[in-house]
Amino acid sequence: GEEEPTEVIELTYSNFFPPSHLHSVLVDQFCQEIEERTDGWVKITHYPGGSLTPAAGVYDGVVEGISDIGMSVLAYNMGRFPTTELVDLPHGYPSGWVASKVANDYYEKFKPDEFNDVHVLYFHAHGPGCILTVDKPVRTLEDMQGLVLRSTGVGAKIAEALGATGYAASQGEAYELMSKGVIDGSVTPPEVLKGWNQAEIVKYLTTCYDVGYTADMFVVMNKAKWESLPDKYKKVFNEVCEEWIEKHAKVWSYYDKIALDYFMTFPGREVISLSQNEMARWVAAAASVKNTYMSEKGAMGLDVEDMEEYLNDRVDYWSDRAPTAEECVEWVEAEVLPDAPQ
Amino acid sequence: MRDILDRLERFTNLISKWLNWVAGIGLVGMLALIVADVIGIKLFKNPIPGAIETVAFLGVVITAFAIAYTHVVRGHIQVEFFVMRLPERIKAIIASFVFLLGIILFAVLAWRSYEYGMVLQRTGEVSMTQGIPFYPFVHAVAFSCIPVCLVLLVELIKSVLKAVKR
Amino acid sequence: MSSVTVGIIGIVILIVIFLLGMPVGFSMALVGLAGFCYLVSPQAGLSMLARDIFATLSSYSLTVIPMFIFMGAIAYASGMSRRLYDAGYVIFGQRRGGLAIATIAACAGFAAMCGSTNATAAAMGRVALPEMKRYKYDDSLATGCVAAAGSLGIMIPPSTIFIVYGILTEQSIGKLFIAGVLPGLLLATLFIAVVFFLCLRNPKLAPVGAPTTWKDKIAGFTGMIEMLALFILVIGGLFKGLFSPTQAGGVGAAGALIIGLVRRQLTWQGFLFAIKDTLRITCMVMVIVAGATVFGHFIAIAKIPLVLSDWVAGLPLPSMAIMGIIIFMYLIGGCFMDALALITLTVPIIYPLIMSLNYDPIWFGVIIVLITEMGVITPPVGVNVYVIKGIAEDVPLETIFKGIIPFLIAMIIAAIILIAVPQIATILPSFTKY
Ligand code: NA
Ligand code: NA
Repeated sequence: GEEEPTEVIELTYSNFFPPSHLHSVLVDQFCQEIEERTDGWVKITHYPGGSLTPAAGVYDGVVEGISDIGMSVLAYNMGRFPTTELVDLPHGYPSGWVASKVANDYYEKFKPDEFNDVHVLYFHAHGPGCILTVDKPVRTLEDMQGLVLRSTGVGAKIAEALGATGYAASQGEAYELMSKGVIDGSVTPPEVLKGWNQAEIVKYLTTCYDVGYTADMFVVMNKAKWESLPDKYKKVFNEVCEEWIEKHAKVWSYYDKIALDYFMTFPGREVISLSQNEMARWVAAAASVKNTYMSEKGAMGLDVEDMEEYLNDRVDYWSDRAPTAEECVEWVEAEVLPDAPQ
Repeated sequence: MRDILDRLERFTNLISKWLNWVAGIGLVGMLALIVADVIGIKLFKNPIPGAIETVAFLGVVITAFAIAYTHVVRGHIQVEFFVMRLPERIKAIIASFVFLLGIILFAVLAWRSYEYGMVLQRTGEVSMTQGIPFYPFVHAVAFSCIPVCLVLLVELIKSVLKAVKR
Repeated sequence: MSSVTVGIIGIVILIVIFLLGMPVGFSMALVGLAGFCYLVSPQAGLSMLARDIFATLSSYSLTVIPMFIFMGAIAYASGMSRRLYDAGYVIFGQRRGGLAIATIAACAGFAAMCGSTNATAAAMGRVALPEMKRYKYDDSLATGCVAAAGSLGIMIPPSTIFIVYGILTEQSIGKLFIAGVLPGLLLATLFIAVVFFLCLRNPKLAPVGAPTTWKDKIAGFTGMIEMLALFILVIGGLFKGLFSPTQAGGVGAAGALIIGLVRRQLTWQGFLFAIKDTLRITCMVMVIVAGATVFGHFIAIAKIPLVLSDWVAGLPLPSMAIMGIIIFMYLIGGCFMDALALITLTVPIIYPLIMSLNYDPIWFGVIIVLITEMGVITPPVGVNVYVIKGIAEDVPLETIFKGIIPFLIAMIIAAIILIAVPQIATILPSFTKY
């Protein structure tokens, strides 16, 4: 028998996305949903834009209880999630929807130890990364030489393998770095063109889906806080999280589509697609990243072959079941946009 | 008593001064690295790998190792106009209280930075592009708090003596 | 006790221990730590302290501070800034407040490109303050000038505050940048007018030099060529996007070092002095910034910004009154919190209200930046003021705050002008596409 709580449970949620970003709108809706389904007994205060813990400090902040719940990018804490890093490598992700689904499956299947210090709520992951540049178009592998590109985790390793220099910075800093000329561009999903206003200064976008990595994002909760929740509220969380995976997945596919459309509304913008021959050169150049990773993690005792095979399977599985980009756009316009700041 | 105190003070000031010069080497190193990186990018299209991350880490050295000496030379900004007008004994009591608070702050910072460094070491977290480990720099912050505490301790003893003096 | 009550008690305790003479950065860190421990948990508060301080000290964007201070310190140690001001005095010195006005212009130009208000105050202050003192300019006038002019940097593009505001409100950052140009010039003009009127009222504030001929002026100009060339390299490089601010500072410091060595005016002793000076000022600034970060997180978790914005949004008042309250709120908020954190927490709540009152979003961005500029020079959390204090060691803090008041009044006048004539902010962006 569950006892009724005697006082309202107040939680904090630290999120690195800026408040106007649709993933932040989803977090607002998440907090509301939890409050409604617990009849107001669980209230969550949302701190977006890294205003409680900085992007790279969100995970550790949850472990230490600085915030109770946190959302950020795994790659911002390089080395801390060796098993889950594998998800970020290029596996031919066709969309953010597929990447998000695969990321959750991967966790459920392998349950890596690296998350033992938190309670995992769920994951989501962006669509295939591409190369954005401010004023130096990238048409061939040679054009990558000497570029300084904002990138993190696997994206950074791919950038370096392709001849550029990686510059580690969170997405929130990218606009300023590009506008001040510190960096030439960014290795990132197209979503940033809209979600972080970068279409204003980025002039060239090079698609390179065959080396398109993803970035796995976590939503985790402080372990002690989770344990202290009454079982019926844990159940509410589990249900709501399950629904929200689908929502974040759709938002990613929505951004993949509309960010490109939005980008092209600016004058003098260009989307560069690589020829098949050129793409093959890129794949060859980037192959070392995956190989190094596989041998390093293999040496750590991870069963990388199995994991790799599982990932490839799941990408195929979800690709067959993915909603179209148009369906995602339609859904987001009906369900998320009305709650976004106008 | 005074003699021991003076010797202790000379000792803590000396340590602070030496650490400040470590920070100075960090500053000059930072300048050299930035200039080399700029030359690499602008003239040879070849930035120094990890220059930016290393510059950020040198930033830790510059500030952390200078905190104690900056305190010795009264470099940390404080509001004086209120305390200035008070009688000497009250001033010494207030100063004792303020130094005690300072010791608490830096002792806690040393302890927690050490623990934070251990967390980073255990979880293997490294910088995002070059894979430089963070934890030595976090431990540097923890270490640099020790001379700050010592400097503050000497001042605390001195102001307590001043406060109880008849 | 509600979290807001705890937050207010925290602010009161902060002011008390400020007044007891505890260093400003230490006070903010300590009160922020205690408050966070009380509101969340000791474990969370203690962990936050260590993480916030490390994150601040290891921030790449803040390394601009030691580099520009180093440049200023080397220029000072090798006599370059002395020659610069000697030349400036020959050229502008016969005019009332000429050097102060020239300093404001130089700060505005430097700040515009650098974008960091405290780096500007530190770098320009390092060059300007000792020299203005040498020419017997009044302490409060000289320090007030540099503190206020340093804050111009966030109005004149590029500006971090505009970028954050643009992302928060989905407004074009390009339009916001352009919107800042005229208000920036308006402010610079008002600052110059302030100096002029102050000197008119009390000529002793800025002693006028002996008359000079054109020949003297040209001869004087040659004395400032090297320093001018260095400024042009640094500011031009920033403007063209050639260097990041940190890199520009490094290039500037290396340039000053080379000029000093070539001219055989930089001694080994002078170099060591420059290093020590740079470390002291950098450490002082960084400790304050780190303390402000810790304290800001305490204020955030106390929900003061959220509760205040919700309260304003629910007020049944005419739009003018609400705008007045919002401006006042940000002004007070800026006294206790870092500007970026304040904006991130409040703008999403305030912004829909501003839209429903039919204010222009770009115009409101400019107003927010203007109020933020005031925030960096008002006590008790006015980082620019403490930076200046660290350079002008012998000038009491209250003299600096006194020096700032006329410039603060100029900013308030600018705000009133912007409310009365919003076109100053909106006319230029209306011509640009994005
Ligand atoms: Na600027
Ligand atoms: Na202030």
